[in-house]
Amino acid sequence: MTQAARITPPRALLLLVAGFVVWSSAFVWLYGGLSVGCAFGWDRITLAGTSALRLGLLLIWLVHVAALGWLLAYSRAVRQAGRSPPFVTTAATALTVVALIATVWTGLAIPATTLCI
Amino acid sequence: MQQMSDQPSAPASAVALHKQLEAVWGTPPGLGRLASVNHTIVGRRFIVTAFVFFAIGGLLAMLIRTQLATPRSAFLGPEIYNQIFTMHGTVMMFLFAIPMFEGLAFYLLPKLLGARDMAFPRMSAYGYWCYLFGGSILVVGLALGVAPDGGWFMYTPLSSKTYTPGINADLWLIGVTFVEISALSAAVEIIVTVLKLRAPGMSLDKMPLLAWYLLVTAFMMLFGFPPLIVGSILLEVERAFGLPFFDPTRGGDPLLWQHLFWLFGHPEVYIIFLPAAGMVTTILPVFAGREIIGYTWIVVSIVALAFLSFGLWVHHMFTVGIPHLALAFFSSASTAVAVPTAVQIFAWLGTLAAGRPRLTVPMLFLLGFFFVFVAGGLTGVMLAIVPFDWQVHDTHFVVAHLHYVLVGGFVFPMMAAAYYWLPHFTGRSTRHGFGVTVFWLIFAGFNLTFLVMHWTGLVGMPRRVYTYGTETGWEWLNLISSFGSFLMAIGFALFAIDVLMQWRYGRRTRRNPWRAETLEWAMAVPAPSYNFASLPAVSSRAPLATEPQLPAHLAAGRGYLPFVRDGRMETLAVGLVTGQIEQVVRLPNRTLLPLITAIATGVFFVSVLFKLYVPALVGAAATLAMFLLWTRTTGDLQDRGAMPIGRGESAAPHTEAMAPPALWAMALTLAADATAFASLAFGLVFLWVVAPNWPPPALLAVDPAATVVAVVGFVGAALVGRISVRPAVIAVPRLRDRVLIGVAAAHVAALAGLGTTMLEVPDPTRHAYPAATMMVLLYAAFHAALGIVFALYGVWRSRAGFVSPARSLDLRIGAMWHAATAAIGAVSLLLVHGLPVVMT
Ligand code: HEM
Ligand SMILES: [Cu+2]
Repeated sequence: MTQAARITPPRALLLLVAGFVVWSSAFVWLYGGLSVGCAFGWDRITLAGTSALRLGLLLIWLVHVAALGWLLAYSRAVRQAGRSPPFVTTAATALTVVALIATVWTGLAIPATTLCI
Repeated sequence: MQQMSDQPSAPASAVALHKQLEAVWGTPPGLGRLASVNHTIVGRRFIVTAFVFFAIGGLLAMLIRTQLATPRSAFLGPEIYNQIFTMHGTVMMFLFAIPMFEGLAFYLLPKLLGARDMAFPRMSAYGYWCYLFGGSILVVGLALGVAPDGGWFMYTPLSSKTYTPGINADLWLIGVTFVEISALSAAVEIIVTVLKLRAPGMSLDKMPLLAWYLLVTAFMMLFGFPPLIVGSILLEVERAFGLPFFDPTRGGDPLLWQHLFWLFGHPEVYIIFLPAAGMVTTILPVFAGREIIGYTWIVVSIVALAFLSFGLWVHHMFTVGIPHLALAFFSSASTAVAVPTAVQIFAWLGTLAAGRPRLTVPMLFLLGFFFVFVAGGLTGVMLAIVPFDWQVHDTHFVVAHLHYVLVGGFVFPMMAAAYYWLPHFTGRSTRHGFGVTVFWLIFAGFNLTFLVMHWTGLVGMPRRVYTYGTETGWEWLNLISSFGSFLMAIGFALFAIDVLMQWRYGRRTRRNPWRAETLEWAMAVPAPSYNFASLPAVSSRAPLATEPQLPAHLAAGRGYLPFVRDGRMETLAVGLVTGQIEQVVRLPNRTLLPLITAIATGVFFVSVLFKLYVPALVGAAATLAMFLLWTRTTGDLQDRGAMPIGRGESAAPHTEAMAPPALWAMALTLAADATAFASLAFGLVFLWVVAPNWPPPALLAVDPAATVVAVVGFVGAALVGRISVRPAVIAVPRLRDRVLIGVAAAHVAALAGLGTTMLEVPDPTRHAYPAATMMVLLYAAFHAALGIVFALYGVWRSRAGFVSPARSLDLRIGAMWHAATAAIGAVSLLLVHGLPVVMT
């Protein structure tokens, strides 16, 4: 069996922050999407029983949550295979979990709150 | 000859070794000091200067409190009062807190990490001069009575030409930007130093926590300051040339300033808090007598904190009509950010509880910090409750809360740090009794001033008013508050006296008086210019605990690099994660160039201030020329291969390494650059989507030929730039010169295409659309112009013999610039041509 390649710097460092980079992306896309959507009146277009804007925001949110889910699985795999020092993988996994929670937390209001007022 | 110089041997005795190192690393006294680049000296300068600015800011606070002590006071008029509180806030935030952090980082980092200096000593010196000059511009403005007066966040339109026709606002924009440039360069330097210049064996998880804190803070500065710099440039361009970015009648929007400012301003609060928290995390375990609890958790929480703190800038804009859902996004970040803060507080409390605390002076200040900071957190929660916020919005309640957080979160930990590291600076021991008096004066004075100020706020006293009448019933509260502030001032004055006395007359201290376990105490105090006579091999987080004999061994030359080779200053760089030895970094020695370069930069800024654009261009050109001169002593004219570093090991010089510090610095600079560009692009899109009076009267006409030339130029620069670093190309001097000239030609084409496009832009003073479009194009053009410089610089270095297949650093740095320029150019073109299509 061949040992999978070790994760080397600077990628090891990227692994640490990858989770929160995804969180940042979610944040920017959600806030940006909302602002642009409101400016263009996408909240008044109905799609599948709800507004197109809300649907779009939900989609952005879910994509990011899914990305974080994948990242979590990946950093756990890296950790189990011992492809990076234990400290880095432990911290990376923990940070990914925290970022996942933060992202879920950020989007919770999307289904519930008024969009553009 | 070369044989000899590559096989240096350690001198026979510790004293001989010290003399040898001191001869190379030391800085002569007198005028020679102006040329100093040593991190101990530059760090100390930053700290002392920041303390002077703290005194100035404190003096202004005393003037405010004197004015407010009695009703209908005739001491200060409203114009002066406005200048004074604005300058108080500005000085404290920009000229005290951030530079104090930089100074401590410069002074401590190499010592903590087991290195001999920072990664770019001349940059530190340059940054210091920029800070000093920029700060002086502001202080001179204050002395002449033309200081900024629109509040420390400079809201437009108050700070626009119409409402502030004088030079006041320009002073702020120019002075602060000048200082911020030094902060950005400090951020790059701190990051590279922490990542690379550590002692062998110090893997990421063995790094002292303070280094983690400083690393994360520096990253926050790297991404937090560019929006403010862009905002300041836009506002200055609006004020000077009438390009209406913030003027709603011509398609601008004051909200754009608020976004750009708070995009920086909120993280700024954490940029101030994190280093202070790092000090707490370092000092507390020493006096608790045990290791800090939860190392990994602290690292995780500060990284999380850094990100989350960027997600709540809009909470300063709750009153400007933002949709509920957007508010929900920002509230989610506001609540989330409390969790990592709490994790740290629990780690500190847990460490205290599990240890046997010693009640020293630094410890007293840490306890004061806990008390004040937690109280500030509680009033923060009160402010987060929206109806309450409305009630006390813009009253002295907010002023009181802000000082509980800032003074609690920064000044108290800094005082602890001052008493903790003073013996390191002076080599003398502190006097316990005096320090205790200082603590109680400051602690009592602070609480008296600001606890009472909560009350003045609750009864309705607004902030930023210069006087009040007797009918308000606010006199007693204000008098008590002012009395408290004078107590506090006496405390700080006594502190200054204490420091002077200790420095002049203190008893000599022994090495490591607090029995600390980190490397900065493994040297004689005050620190020698080279820090370590030989560099340690680190095997734990507490090197001095694992190996109590370490200081003696290092002094005796039993570590790495126990010699001077070729009269050069050398330190080691390691693998970023593993801490394995990677390269020998050869540092530049003292020179006047940083000072001269900073003076040239100052000429640029002062000329812009007085709207003298020809001298400004001369200043900018001189700055660039000076920077090019710096490189004459960097690099190497021959391949050296691995060099012995002592202990039977060897490493290549950084000039021949895969990833030398300068390459990292370039990558980080480009990250900040990309952030600035993104802020600018955000400005254009934001105005188009949100601002009134859009769409603009006329759009940019597309000139297909110009666009094609620009695209070809950019793509060419990136591609040919890549080719220029191919081993096969670098190996043939004539070929690599030609390729580099090709890169320069590609940039010229890009510049020509962009220039022609700019001619098509409608009058930029008419509307924010042409104004912002122009700025985006200028941004790209600036990069192409510098791209020419980089390419020709490569030719020069190549011809001068600095380049070989092993020594390709200069060309690789250039290639990074060419690629970044291409990316920025492509996005710019896409924006200016694509946006009109999408939006109309
Ligand atoms: C040393 C004792 C200090 C005192 C007695 C003091 C006093 C004051 C007072 C009375 C004001 C309100 C002025 C007004 O609204 O009319 C104020 C504003 C302010 N202070 Fe302090 N302060 C002190 C230290 C600090 C420190 C250490 C910092 C930051 C690190 C700071 C940052 C600010 C800021 C940002 C403002 C807001 C300025 C504005 O409204 O534009 N202060 N201070
Ligand atoms: Cu904030």
